[in-house]
Amino acid sequence: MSRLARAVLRRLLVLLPTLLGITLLTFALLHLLPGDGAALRFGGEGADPGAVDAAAFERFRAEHLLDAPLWRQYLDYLGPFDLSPRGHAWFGGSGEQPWGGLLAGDLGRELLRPSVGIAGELAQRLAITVPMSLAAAALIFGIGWPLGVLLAVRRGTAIARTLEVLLFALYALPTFWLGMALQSLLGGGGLGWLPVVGLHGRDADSAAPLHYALDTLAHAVLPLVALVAPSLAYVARQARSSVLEVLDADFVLCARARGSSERQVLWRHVVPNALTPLVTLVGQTLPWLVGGWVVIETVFELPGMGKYAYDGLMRREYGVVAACVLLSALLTALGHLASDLAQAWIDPRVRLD
Amino acid sequence: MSEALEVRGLRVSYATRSGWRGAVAGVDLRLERGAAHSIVGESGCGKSSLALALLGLVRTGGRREAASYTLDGRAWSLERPETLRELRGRRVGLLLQESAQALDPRLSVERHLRAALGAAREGAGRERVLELLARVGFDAPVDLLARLPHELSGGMRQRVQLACALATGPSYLIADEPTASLDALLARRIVTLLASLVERERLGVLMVTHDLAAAAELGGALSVMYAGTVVERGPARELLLAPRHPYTEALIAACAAREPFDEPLRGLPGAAPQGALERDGCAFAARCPLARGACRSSRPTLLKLAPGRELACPPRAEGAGR
Repeated sequence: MSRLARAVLRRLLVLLPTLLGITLLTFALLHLLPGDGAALRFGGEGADPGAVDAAAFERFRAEHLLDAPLWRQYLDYLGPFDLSPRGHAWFGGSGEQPWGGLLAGDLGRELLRPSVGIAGELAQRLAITVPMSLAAAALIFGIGWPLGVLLAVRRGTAIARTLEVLLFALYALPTFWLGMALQSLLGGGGLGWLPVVGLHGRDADSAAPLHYALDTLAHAVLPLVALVAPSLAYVARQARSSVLEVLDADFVLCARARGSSERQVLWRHVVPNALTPLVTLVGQTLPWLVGGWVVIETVFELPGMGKYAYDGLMRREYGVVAACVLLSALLTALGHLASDLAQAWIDPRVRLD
Repeated sequence: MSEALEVRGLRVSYATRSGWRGAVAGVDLRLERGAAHSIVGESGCGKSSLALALLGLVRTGGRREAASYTLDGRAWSLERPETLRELRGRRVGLLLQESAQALDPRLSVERHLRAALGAAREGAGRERVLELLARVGFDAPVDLLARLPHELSGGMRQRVQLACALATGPSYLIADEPTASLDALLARRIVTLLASLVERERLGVLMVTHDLAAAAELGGALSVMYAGTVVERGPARELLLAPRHPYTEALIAACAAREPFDEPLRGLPGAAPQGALERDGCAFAARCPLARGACRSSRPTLLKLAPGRELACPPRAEGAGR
């Protein structure tokens, strides 16, 4: 096995205990929150106790193991045995559905909408969040890096200074505020240029394919801008300072002393050396975007994974939140691995071990 | 036509919070083809700024100007980008102090040299690369081609840098502290290499250094700089054996590698002045044992003392007695 394959395999093996730890932590944190799915389903905290069907309430809690000790709930979640009353016979169940839980590849069903499988719902929502994230990453780095290089090369000019102040302001803005500001400025209440909620217009389903695509694109603009702008500002500022640092290096001076033009110096020496250490950022952006989507999808009411996680948290859908957190953790780990690989590929000095 | 690089009234200053501060104050310098010229002085005296300015270069935040710049009898403008590109590399090369940043950390030895050769002409072949590496004293250059800078020793890196500087075929080489951060043996090796380039290839070499022994070894002329001005100039060995300026004397007295070894080193009280160029008088006056009233009121100029010897110290110039 090659050195590279061994390095990758080792990272993936280390990933397993990490993910296990994350499931445990998520599970514990969620159960620290007051209330549970049963309480919400049967009227919530403030409901009149007399109106609640106490027997049904208790039955629901028992069916979903909500009355069991935490360790039993966790093991049920982890699998591969189903520990509920209908679960594996070894654990006192009726044996109707012996297997279940994460290790059996089962993310479970929602508590309040038992007809909805979490895995299927998540897949549907990822079909929205993943393309949006890729578009966001492309915008962040496709604009941020060239902008940073430009700001460094043109440092000291009036345009560069103005842009720097602007970028700093963008970087400082909270995402949710920017989203809401864009909504009220460009949406129906303001200029009315762009749709501000959802992913499609009301009659999108009956529209022609081209019209449907344009409609989706129009709905994606504002959420993308709100999510991308602060990150883009951050990335551009980072690229700028990295380029400025390399511009002062002796090998740049030497290249100039050999009569290389500024353009040659920039593309052959400065940009590759300045951006190489920043490549690691790309892989780390993906999980960071997931966090951003929780806010943005909620503000813009997009039915993506971020909104799913937020709603799940509000409804005490442990399975939903745990699945979203686990997926983010997996993305984070894979993102880091991917950026390390990219780094090793680009930078001849880096060796994976 | 004289084959020489000649600059008059060279000034370099850097932007500070309190305005421009002079680093080099109107220095005249002549570097002949096939000859060596060393510049010595302590850190911050402006010798490196002077060296870079000879290529029209300045570090970030600086500016440079020259009253005149003549190369092989032809006047050049340091202000026009086209003439600067023609000047750099093809006429005058640069060798910097060895450091982790002196070579591009991402490029192999071969790609460094190809890039350097490419700056002169396209289609640089591997034979030219190997030839250049042999020229700077590598016995088995083929083994070196794929190596990256961090896989080379300091001395090797320095020679690779020199090969890059020579790739464009300059007639003059500016070497800024080429031996600093190398051990004594490697430093000698680099100086010997520079001396052989002067002798065999008629290169004009200007070496900036704070290593007096290296200056003596390279031979040729020697200029001693203090606070942005040249205070004494002459043939290197003669000047080091019979210094006239009190600052040169102090430099030699503070030099560790001189015999007899049991004689204690002598330091120089005080520190190099800040902003001395903005004040009247001799910049060295505050630390000088010979200083008198006139030294503090008017700035001494470099005067001819004997053929090839120049001195900017009125008390000593008079003492030499006409």
